[in-house]
Amino acid sequence: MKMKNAFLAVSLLLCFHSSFSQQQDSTSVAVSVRNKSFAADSASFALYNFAIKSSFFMNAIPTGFNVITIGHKYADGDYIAGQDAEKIQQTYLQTEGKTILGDVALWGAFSFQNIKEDSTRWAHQTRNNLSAPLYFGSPALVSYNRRIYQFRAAANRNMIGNKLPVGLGLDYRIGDHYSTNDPRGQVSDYQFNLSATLGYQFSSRFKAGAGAHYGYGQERTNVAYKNRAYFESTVYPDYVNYIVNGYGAPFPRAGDRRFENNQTRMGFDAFLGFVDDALGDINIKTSLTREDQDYRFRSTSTALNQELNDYQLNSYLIDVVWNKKIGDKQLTAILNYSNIDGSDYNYSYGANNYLYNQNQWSAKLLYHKAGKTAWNYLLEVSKNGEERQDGIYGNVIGYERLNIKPGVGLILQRSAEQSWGVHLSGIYSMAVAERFIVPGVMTDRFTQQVILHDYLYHTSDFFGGTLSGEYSFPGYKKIQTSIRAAVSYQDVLNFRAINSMVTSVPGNNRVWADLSLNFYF
Amino acid sequence: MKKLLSILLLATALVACKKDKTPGIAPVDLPVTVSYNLSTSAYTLPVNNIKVKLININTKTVIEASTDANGKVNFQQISAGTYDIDAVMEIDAAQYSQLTGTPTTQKVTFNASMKGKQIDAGFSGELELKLISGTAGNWLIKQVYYGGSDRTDGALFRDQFIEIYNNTDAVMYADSLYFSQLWGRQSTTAARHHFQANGQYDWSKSTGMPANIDANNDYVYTRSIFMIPGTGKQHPVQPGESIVIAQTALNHKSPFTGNDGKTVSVNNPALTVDLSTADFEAYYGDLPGRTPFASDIDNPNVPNLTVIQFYGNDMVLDNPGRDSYIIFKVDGTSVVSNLPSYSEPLLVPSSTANKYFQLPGKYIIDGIDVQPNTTDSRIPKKLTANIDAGFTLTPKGSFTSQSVIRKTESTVNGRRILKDTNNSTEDFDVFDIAQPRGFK
Repeated sequence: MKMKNAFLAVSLLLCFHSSFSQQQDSTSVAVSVRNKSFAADSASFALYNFAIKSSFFMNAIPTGFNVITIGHKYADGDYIAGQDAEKIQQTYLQTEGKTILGDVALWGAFSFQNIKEDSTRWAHQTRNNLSAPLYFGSPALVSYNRRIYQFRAAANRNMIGNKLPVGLGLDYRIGDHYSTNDPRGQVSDYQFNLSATLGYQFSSRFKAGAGAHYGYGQERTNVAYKNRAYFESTVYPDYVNYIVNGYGAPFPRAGDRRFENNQTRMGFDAFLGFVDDALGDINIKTSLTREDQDYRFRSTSTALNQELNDYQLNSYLIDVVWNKKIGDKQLTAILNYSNIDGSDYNYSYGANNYLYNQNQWSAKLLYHKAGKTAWNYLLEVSKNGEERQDGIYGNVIGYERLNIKPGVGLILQRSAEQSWGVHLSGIYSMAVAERFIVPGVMTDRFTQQVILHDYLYHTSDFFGGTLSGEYSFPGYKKIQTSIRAAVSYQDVLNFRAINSMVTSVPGNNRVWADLSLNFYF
Repeated sequence: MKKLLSILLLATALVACKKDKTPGIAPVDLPVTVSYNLSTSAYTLPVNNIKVKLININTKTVIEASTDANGKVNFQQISAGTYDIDAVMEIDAAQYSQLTGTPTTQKVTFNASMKGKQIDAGFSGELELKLISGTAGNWLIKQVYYGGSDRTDGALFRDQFIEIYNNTDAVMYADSLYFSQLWGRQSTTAARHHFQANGQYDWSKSTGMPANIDANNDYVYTRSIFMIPGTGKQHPVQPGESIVIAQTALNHKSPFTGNDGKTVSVNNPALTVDLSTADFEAYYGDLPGRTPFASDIDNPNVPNLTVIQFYGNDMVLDNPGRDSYIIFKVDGTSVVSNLPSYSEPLLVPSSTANKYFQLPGKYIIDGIDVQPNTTDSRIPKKLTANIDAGFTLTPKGSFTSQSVIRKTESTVNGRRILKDTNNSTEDFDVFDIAQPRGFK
């Protein structure tokens, strides 16, 4: 772990050096204002968000675009899934930027999040591996603290007469998650991912490439108690530690409350890039990934490491981005499809027990019109679904949702360096399909508080919206500084009926707030 | 461009194809054959109508069936999982006498058990259970209060006791009756030992163990041994009565002053027991080189047990329930303190490892296996099916005031006859608050 911390520290220094070296080269007001305008252009920024996912498309990231954001998010309300927290406080710092060193394009990003959840239950987990078949959990509400550091970097060099773009990327995340009251879960995790791309520029308008990615990581979970009575007996049922292994009623795990999940993943990517003044630019990325997760009891005294579960995730995705500029107008369309299949091997039963599927597609249209009063328009239609099966209990629970999200925003340029912006978007989301098979008795607390609760949550219809405002002004050394505030709200329209008594029902609404300070330089 | 769009649409169509999948766990058939583990074939006992019970230890699903004329039963389409499998056959006294030619006045119970048997999804074999008859109890372990009471509001573990019962219709004498805690595998997450197929220590691999004995089935290994003193007829126990052996014979509901001079009170007396009238207690203050717990006070009105083998600072019963308990008497050919002793069957033998007395199973009068209260903490049984085919436990766990208590089977002329099928799973119940000399 010391080695990894040292690596993280060096990475941080590199990231900040990359960002601030830009400041020395381009401290002009014009660059700063340009970067601010770029971030406010929803059509351009959507393309940027696509491009930073792979070093192959690094030329779509504007050189010299650097931003630092410090913010605080707040969420409250009980319209949540069973394993979510009602109140969440999140303080974050993130910075990213692109620079050119010689003929190598470099992009780097660093983020830090400090999250406090007030009421997490049934989930001694990170929030990054939610389809996991195996984890510890208890009915008791616990306060979870999470500290997550993430560093991402990408480099791209176009070799042999700009015919052969070669790219490298890395993504390193380290997290510490712990609850501050009994049962005291502690989950430490890290993930390290590397990617490499190789392309060929067939013509000035068309390039194609292929890539591979490999990564590994680990989650180590431990549950302890301050009050011994909570694990020495089952007199306090809220505090009993359970091992969830699948998607059915879990089993108490009073002793040996520790395990680790070792992960490896690898996959392949394919890229296409097409540039045409008349038709616009088209960028396509597809990926196939296989991830293996090995859950095993962690023994402290001997070499005995009992295998608990092997979990394999196979995922594929395709992203298509079309971008067209017409004068001061710009249009971006994004099509996206992804699918994840998970399948476990449960060592207690010597067979596959748990199946997971998640799939989603979305079509998103973003229109930006520049000017003294600039406008952003958004229309997004998406569909997402999830299904979990447990063979032991015969449970099959799934849903599919259709989401429609329109939005409009404007930016008023008060002067060359000062602007106001406001954006309003709405969402209407409805469940369009569902599967609900729970053949057993549905009285155990996990089934009530997670399975049934989540079914009700995911099959409910809701509407909501987000209102955000941003004020930008020249700050220190005339760096464009903005204060951004956003409020989101969701309200339930209806819940499905279940032919069983339900003791845990989602609430009716939820609100989010986000206040951030942003520096563009 | 058209080609590009065509490729894109084709790719989207391909990835959009979603197959319906089902989990790989499929029900399996589990054939079980039950027979008798008889040392002689001079007679034949019936194999039909033997009750076989299957308990899924995780889902708690219970399936029961009876054997056919060939002693076979087929559990069809059961879920893969981990099971306790028990078979029991009761033959009434008249039938047993007729079949075997051995006169008996009590029904004879045969037991067989297989605990924690993992039945995988692809299981295709057949299980065989061998029925063993146990000794009908005269002395019985009636109640064991090993869990203790609440750490804060109760008496912790100092209020532990065990109760032994005269289940006969005649006066019996407790003099030279031994009580013992057994040793064996206490955790399934340690791998420093040789193990048998059932997960228990393979004592035959202990250093110095004779090769010509069945070290695993004909013997047990003791962690502690206590003897009721007496010259032979000093401690009569009337039919239907019992003796209570206390760790410390105090009224644990009341404040007491410990060996260290400090006074200890109990916040909630209702959680603990009054052992001031116990018949015997264990006192470690007389043991050379041993500093007893502050709570180990010698009650002058209660005779002390003779301590043959011990550990720790008092007669502490394992709170989570990992001990097994036996009572026994030896014949004139054995001196308990001279029994051979062996260390655990360590993979890497150690000259400093603890040693445990090897007691022949033939001396055991009664015994019970207990287990921790949660399935994941289960440990391999220490007793064979002729002594205890099952196990019992306090469902709430440690420090909850619960005790395990033998059930009453019948009452004859006001005398309770306690249930003794040599299967503690069937024979025992639970007191939510331990009751010395109480009945269930």
